[in-house]
Amino acid sequence: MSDLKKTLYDELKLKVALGIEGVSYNDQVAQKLIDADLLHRYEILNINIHGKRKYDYFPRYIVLKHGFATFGRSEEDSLYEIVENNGQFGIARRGEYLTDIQFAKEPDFYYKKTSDGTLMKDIARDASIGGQDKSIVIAYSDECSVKDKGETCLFCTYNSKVRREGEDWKNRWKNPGQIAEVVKAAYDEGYTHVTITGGFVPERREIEYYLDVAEAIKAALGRDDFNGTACIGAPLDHEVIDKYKEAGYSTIAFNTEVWRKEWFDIINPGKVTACGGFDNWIKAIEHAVKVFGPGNVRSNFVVGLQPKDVLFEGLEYLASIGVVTIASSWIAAVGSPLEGHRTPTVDWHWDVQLKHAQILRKYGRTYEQLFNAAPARFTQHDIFQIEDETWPSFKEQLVEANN
Amino acid sequence: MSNLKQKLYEELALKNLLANTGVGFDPKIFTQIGSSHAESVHCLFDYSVDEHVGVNIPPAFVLPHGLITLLKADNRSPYRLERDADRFIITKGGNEITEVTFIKRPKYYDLKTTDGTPMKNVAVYGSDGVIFIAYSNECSLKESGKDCLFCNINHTKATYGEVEGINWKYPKQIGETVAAAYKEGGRHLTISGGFVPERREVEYYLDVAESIKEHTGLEDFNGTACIGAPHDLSVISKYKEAGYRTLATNIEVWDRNFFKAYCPGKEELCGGYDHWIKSLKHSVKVFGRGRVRSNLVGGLESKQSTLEGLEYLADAGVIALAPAWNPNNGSALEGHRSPEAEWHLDLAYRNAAILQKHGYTYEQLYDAYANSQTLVHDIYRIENELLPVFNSNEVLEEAF
Repeated sequence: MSDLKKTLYDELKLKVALGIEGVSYNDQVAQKLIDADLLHRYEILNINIHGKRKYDYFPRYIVLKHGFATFGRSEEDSLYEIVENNGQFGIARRGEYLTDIQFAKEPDFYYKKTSDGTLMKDIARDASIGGQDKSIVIAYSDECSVKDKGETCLFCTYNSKVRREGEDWKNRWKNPGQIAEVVKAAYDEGYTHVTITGGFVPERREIEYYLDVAEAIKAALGRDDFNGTACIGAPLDHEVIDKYKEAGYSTIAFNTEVWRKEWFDIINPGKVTACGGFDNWIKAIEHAVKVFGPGNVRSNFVVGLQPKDVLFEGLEYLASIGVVTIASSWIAAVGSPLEGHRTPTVDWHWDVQLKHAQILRKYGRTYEQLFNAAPARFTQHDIFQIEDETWPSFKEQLVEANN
Repeated sequence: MSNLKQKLYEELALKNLLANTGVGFDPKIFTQIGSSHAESVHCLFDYSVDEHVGVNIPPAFVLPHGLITLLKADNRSPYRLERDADRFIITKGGNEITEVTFIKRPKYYDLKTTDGTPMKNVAVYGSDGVIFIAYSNECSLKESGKDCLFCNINHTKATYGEVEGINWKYPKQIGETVAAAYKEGGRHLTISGGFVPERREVEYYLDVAESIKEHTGLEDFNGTACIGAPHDLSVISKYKEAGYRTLATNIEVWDRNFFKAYCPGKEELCGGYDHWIKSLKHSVKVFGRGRVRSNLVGGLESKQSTLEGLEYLADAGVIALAPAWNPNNGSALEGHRSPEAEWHLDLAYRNAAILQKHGYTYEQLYDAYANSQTLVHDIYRIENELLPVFNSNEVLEEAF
C-alpha cells in the first residue's frame, strides 16, 4: 500500500470514529464557532443529537485534512474533542492533537426559496458529505404512518417525541412542484443525483406521489433522465416496481436494514405489517434487479444491530444478485425505541466497512453505481475512491510531483 | 431520604458506571490478590475486555459504603484503578474519584478436595455467603453453532481453562467444597453450567444434591438449580424433591423473535419460546412464588420489551432481573456495546419497583440469584437498610 493510501485510510478511520463516538467541545470553543458563524442547527435526515444532550447545535459536517468529511455528533463524554488555536480548529483525542479540520459551507440553494416562499433547505438536504459528486436527499414528509400501530423501526426517530417537541418542528409535506424547483436549483449548482424518500404513507399510496414527483422534476430540468432514486417499501404487487422505472427513476431502493427473518421481524415491525414481511421484501428486491439492472438497486443495512456473521450473510447475498448494499453505522438516536443503547466499537465498524467494500468489489460494483444508488456519501464511497485512486489527494500528489 | 441513603444511591450510580465502562489498570498493583484477597476464577464467563491469562486480578472491588462492583478490565476506559501506597483508588483524568477495597479471600480457596482438586476451582466465592458452581465450563451448543449470542463460556474455557486447571466437577468434589464453604459461612449456592450433551443433566443435578446433603448434613442447603427448560415438565418436581430450594431457567430476552435470534440453541433444544414460558409457570407451581428465577440480559432488546417481560414474569411468580449485558470477548457479539450506564440504572430502578409491587422480598432475591450484587439487590438493601453500613460506619469487607 502506498504511503498516501495508508494516510487516507488512517484519516478515513478517524472519520468513522468521529461518526461513532461523536465529539465534544467546551464553551470557549463553542463561542469561537459561533463567532465564526459555524454553528448551525444539527441537521440529518432521521438521527437527532445523541449522548448527553448538552448541545443543541453543531457545526455543519467536519472536513478532515485530506477532505474526508463526517456529520458531527456532539457527545459530551467523547474521547474526541474540537479544539481551537489561533483561529484554526482541530480534533484532539485525550489531549493529543490529531489533525486540522474545516467545516463545510452550506450550498447556495439553502438560501433560496421556492415560488411558494418555502426555504429550499426545508425541502432538500445536501448529502454529499465531502464528496466531489454532489447529491441531495428529499424526505417528502416528516412522519411515518407505522407509528399509528406502534410499529416504528427500532432504530428510527421519524416519529419521535423529541422531534415533535423541537421548537421549529412542523410536518412539512413537500409537494411535487416544490421538489422540482429545488432539484432544478441544486442541479444548476452542480448536483447530479437526487433521492426521494420518507416515511410510510397511509394505505401505501406512495406510487402516485412518486410518479407525480418524477414528472415535475423532468419538466423542471427539461430532460427525462434526472438520476433519481426512489426509496420505497417493498410493494405487495411487484409489478408496481416497473412503474418507477417507467416514470424515470434510474435507481430504486428498498432498505432491508437487518438480515434474516427473525431480525427483520424484531427491528422492522412496520415493514412486516405493511410490506408482506422479510420474504416479500427480498423477493421485491430480486424483482427490482431484473427491472432496473444490477448496480441500480440499493438496500441499506443499519450496521451494529446484529452480529457480524448474520450481517455479512445478508450483504453477501444481496451484493451477489447485483444490489448496491449500504452499510450505515447505527447510532442509537434520541427518540428512537433504542435510545440509550450504544453502537458497537469503532474497530468493529471499521472491520465491517473494509469487508463490505470488498464484497461490493467482488461482485463488480463501481463507484459510479454506489454514487447513483446511495442517498448520501458513505464510507464505502471513500474506500472505492481510495482504491480507484480517484480521490482528489491522488491528483494533488501528482501535481506536486510534477512541480 | 436520609443522608446515608442518598450517599448509597450516589454510590450505586458510580458502581453502575464503573461496571459499564470498565476500568484500566496495571496488574502489577495487585500484590495481595490471590493471598489475602480473592482472585478471579474463570469458571464460566469472563467479562473483561483485556484478557489476563495467568495473572491474578480481583473479581470485584468494594466501594466506600460497601457496594461491590464487578471488575471489568478495559484499558480503553477513562477510569483507572490505581495504587497509592497502601490505598487503591479509582481515577479519571488523573483525579481521584473514590477509594476502593477488595473482597477477602475465603479460607476454603486454600483447600483441596479428597481427590486433590483445588476447591476454588470447584466453587467460586461471590460475596455475602454466595457461592457459584459451574459443573462444566463448556456448552455443548458450540458443536452445532447454536451458542447464545451473548455467551462466552466456550471462549473462556479456551482462554483460561487449562491455565487455571478448571474441569468438569464431580458430585463428590462439589459436596466436599460446599461443606467447606458453608462451614466458613456460606449460605447459598447455585449449580449451573453449559448444556450437557443429550440434555442428561437431571441425573447429575440429583447426584450433586445428594452429595451436598451428605457432606453438609443439611436437607435444605439453599441451592438453586439452573437448567434449560426440560421437554418433560414433570422432571421439574424431581429437582424440588432432591432438595433444591429454587429453580432457574433463564429466558434471557423477552421478545420471542429475539429469543430465536439470540438463543438459537435454547429455541431448538428446549421446545422454543412458548415452552420456555410454560416451563417457568410449571416451576412456580412446584417451587412456589418467588422460588423460581429467570434472568433477562439487560440491553439486548428495547427497554420496553424487557420491562414487559419483567412485569409478566413477576406477575407469574417468577423473580426476574435484567442485569446489564456485557458484550463478552469471544461471544458472537464481541465488539458490540451495552447501552449507556444511565439506561441500565433506570432499568434497575424500574425492575426493583416491579418486584416490590408484586411483594417479593430481599430474601427471595438472595435465594434465587447466583450473585447478590446486582443493582436490584442493592436497591432492596438500601431501601430496607440491610447493608452493614446501616449498622456501623465501618464497611465489612470480610469474606463471610
